[in-house]
Amino acid sequence: MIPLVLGAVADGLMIGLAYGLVAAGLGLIWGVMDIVNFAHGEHMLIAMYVTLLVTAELSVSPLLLLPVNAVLMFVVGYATYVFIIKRTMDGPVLGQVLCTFGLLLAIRYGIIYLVGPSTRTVSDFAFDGSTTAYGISISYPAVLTAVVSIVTIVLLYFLLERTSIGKAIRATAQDKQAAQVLGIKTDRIYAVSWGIGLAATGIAGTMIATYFPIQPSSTPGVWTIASFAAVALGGLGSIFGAVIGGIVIGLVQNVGATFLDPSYQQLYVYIVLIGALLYQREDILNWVTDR
Amino acid sequence: MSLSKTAEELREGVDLQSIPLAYLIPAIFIGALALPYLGTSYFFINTLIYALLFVGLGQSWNIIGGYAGQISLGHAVMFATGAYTTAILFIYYGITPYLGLIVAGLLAAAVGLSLGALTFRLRYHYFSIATLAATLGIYVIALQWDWIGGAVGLEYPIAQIGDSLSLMFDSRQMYFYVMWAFALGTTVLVYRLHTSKLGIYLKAIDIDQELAENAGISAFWYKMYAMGLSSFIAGIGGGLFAQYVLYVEPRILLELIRNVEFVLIPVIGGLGTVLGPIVGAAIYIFTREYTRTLLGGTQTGLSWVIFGTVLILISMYRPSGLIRRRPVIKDSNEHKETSTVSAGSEADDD
Repeated sequence: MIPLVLGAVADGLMIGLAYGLVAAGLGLIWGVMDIVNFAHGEHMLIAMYVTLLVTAELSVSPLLLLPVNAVLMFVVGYATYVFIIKRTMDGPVLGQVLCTFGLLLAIRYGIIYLVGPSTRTVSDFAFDGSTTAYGISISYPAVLTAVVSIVTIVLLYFLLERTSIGKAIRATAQDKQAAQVLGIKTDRIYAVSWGIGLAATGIAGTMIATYFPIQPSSTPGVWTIASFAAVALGGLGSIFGAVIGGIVIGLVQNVGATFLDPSYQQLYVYIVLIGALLYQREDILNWVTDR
Repeated sequence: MSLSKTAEELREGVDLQSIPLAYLIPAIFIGALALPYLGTSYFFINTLIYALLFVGLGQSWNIIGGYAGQISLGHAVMFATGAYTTAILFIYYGITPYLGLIVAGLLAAAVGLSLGALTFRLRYHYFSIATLAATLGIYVIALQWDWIGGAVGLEYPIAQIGDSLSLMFDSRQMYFYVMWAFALGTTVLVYRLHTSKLGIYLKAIDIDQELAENAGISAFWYKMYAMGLSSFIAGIGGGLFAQYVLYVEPRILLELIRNVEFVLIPVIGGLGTVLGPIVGAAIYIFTREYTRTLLGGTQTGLSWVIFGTVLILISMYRPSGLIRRRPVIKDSNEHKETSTVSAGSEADDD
């Protein structure tokens, strides 16, 4: 019994850190410009498939693809804002929801069209394997993913708190007009936020592809909803809020799957999401009514 | 001169505004009766049937999304409720779908109202996320629920096709008329709504909920009213869909794509307009069915890439759809009105 609990908690923590990283990316975009990226999981899917295809073709280590995918997804995010999202910013919220929903369909089914709907993982990874400690089995890729997530989250924190671009992002999130008055090019900040937000999915996607079976029609939805739930739990405007939210989601999923019916694994996340939205923290609520 | 005017009209939207809806709607629907005689192929009639069904479903979403401005991404739940109710009442208890459809509508309305009671506190994309989560959650439950057939679903008893009370027909033509009636009924309902007090209140809530509430309109209850109506139609639509395809299963009823279709049709046509879902359903269903055949079964993904791109383009260039919203109250001096409106909004800005 105790190993069962420990195992579920360990798995939940490790995947939860990755959820936290992805959610931090979503929360950054959401918090800075009040746009919910419904295609967040699909963006992550791009990085996952780059990893799957490149490692299969060139037999390079997925770890080498971390910077590649981070830069790639930064560019994708930056371009998505400049060419698409920017034009919906002045319009109704409906336009923004439709737009990212359209991205979801185009990316998801584009990938299915190009590479087929089958489930895949990276076939051989130098860190494959697992160890048993205290009666629980821990897989190395999962540990490595958790470590990479922590490092990225810390880097993201320093980027936002200590650098001038980070300050500009935070200023824009707090008050767009005031930031413009101070000479911040808010349009560029929005584009950079999209870039950073998606770069987070690039890093998480690369690591997840090393040990998680990836199915283009269901995997992205799981990650999008998990990051919605993490952000709704943790509140906007703080990376660590999203990370803690992500860990909670990871725990809910794994502990729920272990002790309740595992086929309802996703349902627990949906319930937490709706609950979190309905009982949001004050800051989200204020922020919604202030817009 | 005339060229620039045409360009202007195109930019402003297709101008059907000068023809009163009271003439246009009968003209469209009586004209539609001639459609089955244009082609007898199974494929063509099938496409027509779906187009008419989706006119009704589009109108259903139009009430809550177009008029009340609540972007529900969970309408597949009510659609599935209707389909399962009609099917289960008929398959398990032998209750005729003529009665079953009404029960389906009422049950779907009850489900919609519960969903609304839970989520109408949320606004903007928060509402969208919550409704999306609800439909995904119910999908998971439906897959596991053995009584309603689980992932396999339930099939209609084929032996009873053609029975007088089974609402299952040998000929596609009959289905065409049933769907035609559904499309007409929902369109007339939305037409009534468009000019009614309820329609105006809903639009007011969409434009500025705080202002509407200050004027004494209870946003929550009017949204609930709209949700009830919308869900009732979605439920009947679901029931009709089940009667047509003759089986119910979670995948076809609750998939993400189903939720998107509800949204896509009024958005393509024109949000908060009576004709929007008609135009949207015609464009959408014909594109869907024909791309499906042209691209073949294995490549259906490609048509969703196209629709995704269409959604992105619409959101970028025409977020309110192809058709402009008709003014409810006729104004003889349009220019005067627009100038006062803009002056008013300027005054609001400080």
